[in-house]
Amino acid sequence: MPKTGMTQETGVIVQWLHQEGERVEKGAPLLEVMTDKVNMEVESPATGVLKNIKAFANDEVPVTKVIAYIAEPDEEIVEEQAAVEPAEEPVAEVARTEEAAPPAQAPADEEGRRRVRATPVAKRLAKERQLELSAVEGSGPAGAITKADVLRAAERAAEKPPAVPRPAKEVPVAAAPTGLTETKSIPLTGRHKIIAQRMQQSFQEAPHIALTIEVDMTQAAQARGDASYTALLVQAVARALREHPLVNSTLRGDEIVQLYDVNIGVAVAAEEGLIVPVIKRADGKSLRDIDAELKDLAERARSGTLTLDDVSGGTFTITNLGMFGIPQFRAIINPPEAAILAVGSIVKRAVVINDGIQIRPMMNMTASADHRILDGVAVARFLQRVKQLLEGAPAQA
Amino acid sequence: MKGKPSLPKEKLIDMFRKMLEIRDFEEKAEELFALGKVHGTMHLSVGQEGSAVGAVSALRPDDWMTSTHRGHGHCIAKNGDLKLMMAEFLGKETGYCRGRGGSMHIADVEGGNLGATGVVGGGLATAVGAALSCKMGGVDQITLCFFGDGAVNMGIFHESLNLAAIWTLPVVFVCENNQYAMSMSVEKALPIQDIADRACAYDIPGVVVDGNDVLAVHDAVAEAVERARAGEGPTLVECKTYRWRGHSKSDAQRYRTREEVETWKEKDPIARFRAYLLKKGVLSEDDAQQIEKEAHELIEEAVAFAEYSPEPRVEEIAEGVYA
Amino acid sequence: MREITYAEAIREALRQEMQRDERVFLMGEDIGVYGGAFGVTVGLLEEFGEERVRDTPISEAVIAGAAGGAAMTGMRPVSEIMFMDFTTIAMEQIVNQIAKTRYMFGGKAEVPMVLRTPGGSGTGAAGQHSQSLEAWFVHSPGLKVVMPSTPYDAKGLLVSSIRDNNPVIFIEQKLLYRVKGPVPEELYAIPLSTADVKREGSDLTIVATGVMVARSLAAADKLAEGGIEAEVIDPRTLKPYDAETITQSVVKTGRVLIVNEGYRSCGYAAEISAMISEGPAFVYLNAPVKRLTGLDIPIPYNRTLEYNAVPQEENIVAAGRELMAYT
Repeated sequence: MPKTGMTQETGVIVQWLHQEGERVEKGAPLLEVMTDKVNMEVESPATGVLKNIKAFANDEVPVTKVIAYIAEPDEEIVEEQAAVEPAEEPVAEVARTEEAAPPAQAPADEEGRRRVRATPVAKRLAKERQLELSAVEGSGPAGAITKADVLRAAERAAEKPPAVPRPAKEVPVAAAPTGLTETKSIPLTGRHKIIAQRMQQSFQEAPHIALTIEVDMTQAAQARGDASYTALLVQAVARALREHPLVNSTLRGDEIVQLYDVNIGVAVAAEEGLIVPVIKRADGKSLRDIDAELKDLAERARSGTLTLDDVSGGTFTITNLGMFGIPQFRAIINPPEAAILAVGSIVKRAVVINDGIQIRPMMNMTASADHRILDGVAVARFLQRVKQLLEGAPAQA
Repeated sequence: MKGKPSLPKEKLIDMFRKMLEIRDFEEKAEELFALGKVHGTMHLSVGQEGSAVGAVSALRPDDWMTSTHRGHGHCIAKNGDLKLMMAEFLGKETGYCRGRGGSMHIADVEGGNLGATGVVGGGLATAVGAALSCKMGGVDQITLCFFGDGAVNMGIFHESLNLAAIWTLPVVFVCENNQYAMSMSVEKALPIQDIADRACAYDIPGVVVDGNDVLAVHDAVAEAVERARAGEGPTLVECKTYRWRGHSKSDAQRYRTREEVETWKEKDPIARFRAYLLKKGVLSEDDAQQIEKEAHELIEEAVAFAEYSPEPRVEEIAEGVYA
Repeated sequence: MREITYAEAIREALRQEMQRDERVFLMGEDIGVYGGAFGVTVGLLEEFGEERVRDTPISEAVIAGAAGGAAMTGMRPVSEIMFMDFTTIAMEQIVNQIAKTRYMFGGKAEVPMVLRTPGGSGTGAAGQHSQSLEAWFVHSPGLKVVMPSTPYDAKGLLVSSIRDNNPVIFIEQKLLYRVKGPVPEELYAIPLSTADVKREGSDLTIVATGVMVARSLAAADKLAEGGIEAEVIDPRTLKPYDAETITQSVVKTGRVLIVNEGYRSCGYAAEISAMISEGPAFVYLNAPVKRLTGLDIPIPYNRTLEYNAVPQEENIVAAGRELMAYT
C-alpha cells in the first residue's frame, strides 16, 4: 500500500483491476485505492505477474504494508515484512526552561483568609522581611499592596535585619517527553548490589530465547575506516532497530511500548566491573560521531567519571567479549529492554562460498530476547538485517 | 528532433546522461516516498527533462539560475551533486541546505543555483536582481530564470519582465509550460494560446519551442543567452511540455484524462533523444545502455549516502538565521 | 556640532557609504530625478548617476525582490518603498524569499540588503499611507528591523544597516524628516541591537520607539515638574533588540510604560511587555506593565481623530502619573 499523501496512514482497497496470475506492465493501473478524500489509481511498479494478493476490496491497509507481489512467472515468493514504518511525528527534544511564575495573588487557604493583591516586588519584599502580607495596608489602585506599603510595614514591625535575598530559584529543566531523566551528577555506589538484583529480576521474569547468526566481516573491515568495529556495529544495529521497532521496545504492564529513540548501550569493562554507557539517538549519528562518543564514554567509564545521564535511557544493549577470544556467548537482557546482542570474536575461518572454500573473517552474534515481546521469527529477521548491513556496509568518510 | 546537430559529441552525451539522471532521481524519489521515508511532499518533473537539460546546457558554469518547486531537474542539469540533493531530500545534515530546506528549496549558490522556491513566481524578482548585479558589475554572466505556466498570471511576472526590459538586463526567462498549474489548465487560465506572446508587452523577443525536443530547447535558449550576454536584454522562451505525474503527491489527477497523459508520454524527451543519438551514430545501443546503467548506479549511491547520513542536531536548530 | 535634519542625516549616510563602497546602490520610486517623495535622496542622482541611483516603475514587489537577488550575487542594494503601507505589495518577496533565504539554504547564502521605508501617522494621509507595521517584520524570522528616532541615530544606524550582512528593514518616521539634531560630519556607525538611554531617571521606565521617543522626552519633562523622574529608553533596533538595557532599567524603577505607534493587538509593545513580565525584572515590578499604543482602527483622516488614534505627549504624562500610584 503506497503512501501517496503527506499525512496518509492507511488506504482502503476499492478494487483490483487485474487478477492474480495476470501479467501486468510497469505503469499500468493495477488497483484503485481510496485515501481519506479521494480515489486514486495505483500503477504497477514493475512488469511481471501479479501474485500473492493479500488484501482485497474494502480492506483498510496501513501504508507500506505489502498487499501483493509482481514477480517472474515461476519465481517463488519469500514472504518478507515491509519493515519500515512511516516516520512518526518528531518529539520536541529541546528542553525548554520554564520559570515557575509566582501566582499574582495568594490563593485563599482553608481558613478562607481574604485574597491578597500585591505587586510582585511587594510580595518578594514581604517574604524576605517575613511579613504577613494580609496584615499590610494596601495604598495602591484597588487596594493593591505596593513596595512602599511593605517597606513602611517593615519599619513599624520589630525590625529584623533584612533577610539575605534568596538566590534565584533553580530553574527546573522540563523533562523531555520521552520520560528520560535530566542531567545530574551523582556518585555511583553499591553498584554490584544493584546489578545483581537486576540480573536476577531479568532472568526470572523474562523468558529468554537466544538466536545466533554468523556474519562475514570482510566488507565491514573496509567500511569502518578508522572507526572501531564496535562503532560500525552500533551504527548497523541502530539502523536495524529503526526498521524493526518491536525490538526497540519495552514491556510495561500489559502493553508493549515501542520507543521512538534508538539509544544503544554498549557494555564496557570498568574497574569495578561491567557498566553500560548509552549512545543516544544512535540512528541519527554518523560513524565518526559514534566512534568519538564511544571512545569518550569508554575513557570516562575507566576513569569513573560517567554521569547518571550517560548510563540511563538505553533501549537496546550490545555486549562484546570478542577481545577475550570468546567466539560466541549468550547474555542476559538488560531490563527493561526487549533484547540484547552478544558479539563474539572475529576469527578467520574457511567458509563455503559458491561451492568453493574461501578464508573469511567470521563473527558470531547472539541475540537474547524477551519471548513475551518477541518471537523467534522477529528476532531472526532483525539479526538478518544487522548481518545484511554489516556485510554490505559502504565506506564512510 | 528539430535541433541542429551542431553540438560536440561529448556535450550531447552529457545532456543525455543528465536527462537519465533526472528521470532516475525522480523515480527513486517517488519510490522513497511510497515507502514512507520522505517527510512532506514533492513535485516531480518526470517528462520535463527536455526543457530542464535543454535550457541549462546552453549556460556557462558561471551563469546564475533560479528554479522552482519542481526544480530537481534544474539542479541536476546544473551539475548539482546528486548525493547532496538526495540527502537534503531526506532532511539530513549533509544535504545542500543542512536538512532545513527540503525538496522545494534546494540551492547551491556556489554552483550558481540561486535556489528553488516554494512560492509560484518567487524566483522571478531574484533572477532580475542577479542580472542587475551582473550588469552593474560589468561582468558577462547571465541569469536563467525558470518558472511555470502558473507564474505568468502573478503580478511579480509582470513587474519582473517589465523591469528587466526597461533596464535591458541579462536575464533569460524560461517558462516550462506543462499545461497545468496544479489542476488549472492553460486553456482555462489564459486568454491566449502561447505565453510567449506576452513578450511583446515588454518589447522583448518571445519564442515558442517544443519542450520535449532537448536540442530545440538548447538552441532557443542559447540564442537568448547570447543576446543577453551581448547586452541586448531579456528574452522569453516558452517550452511546451508536460508533467507525467500529478502536481504533488496528493494529486488524484481528476483534471486530466489518462489518454492525455499517454499521448504526451509518447513524446518522451528521453526516448526521442536516445533514438536521435543512435540514429546519428553518436551512441551505440550498448553505449546507451551503459550510460543508463551508470546513471542508475549514481542514484543508488546517492541514496546510500543519504540514508547513512546523520540527522541535523536539534541543538543547532537556530543556526543559519542571521549571518 | 552642526545640526542637520533627520532626512539630511539619512542622505549623508547614503552618500558617504556609496562613496566608500561601490557595491552600494539605490532603487526605488522617484528617488532620482524627483529626489524622493520626502526629499531624502535629493542630489544623489547628480552625484552618482543613473547606474547607482535607479528610478523604478511602480513595482514594489520587484523593488524588494530584485534587491534580494542582487544582494545574493555580490551587491549591497538599498531599496526604498515609498510608504510603509506599500510593503504589503512586496510581502511575498520580503517574508518568503529575502528573510528566509539564508536559513532555508542551510546558512549558505547571504542577503546583505536594506529596505528603507517611512512609517507613521500625523500628516493627514489617512488609513493607507499612515501605518506603523514594524510588528509584521519583527514577526518574520531572518529580518533585522531598525527604527531611528533622531538624526544622529538615523545616520549611524543606516551605516550599520548597510554594512550588516543580513536583510534590514530600516523604518524612518515621516514626522521626523524635518527635525534637526547634532550629527557628526564624519562617517560613523552605531552598532545594531544596542538600546539608548535617552534620559536617566529612577521612578519610571518609558520604552519608546520612533517618533514616540520625542513625545516621551517631552512628557518626562512635564513629569519632572511634578517630581517624577522618568528614564526614557529607545531600543533603536527592534529586532534583535537589546533586552538587557530595558530589563536593567525596570529592575531599577519597578514601573514601566511602553509607547509604540503600531496598532495595539500583537503590536511591538506586546513583545516588550511579555519579555519584561517573563524575565528577571518580574520580581522587581511594582506596577502592571503598561502599554500605550495606536488604537485598533485604521488611521482616520479628520485631524482630531487622527491625533487621538495614536499616543500623544499628554497620554504619556497621564499614564506615567497612573503608574506612580503604585508606591
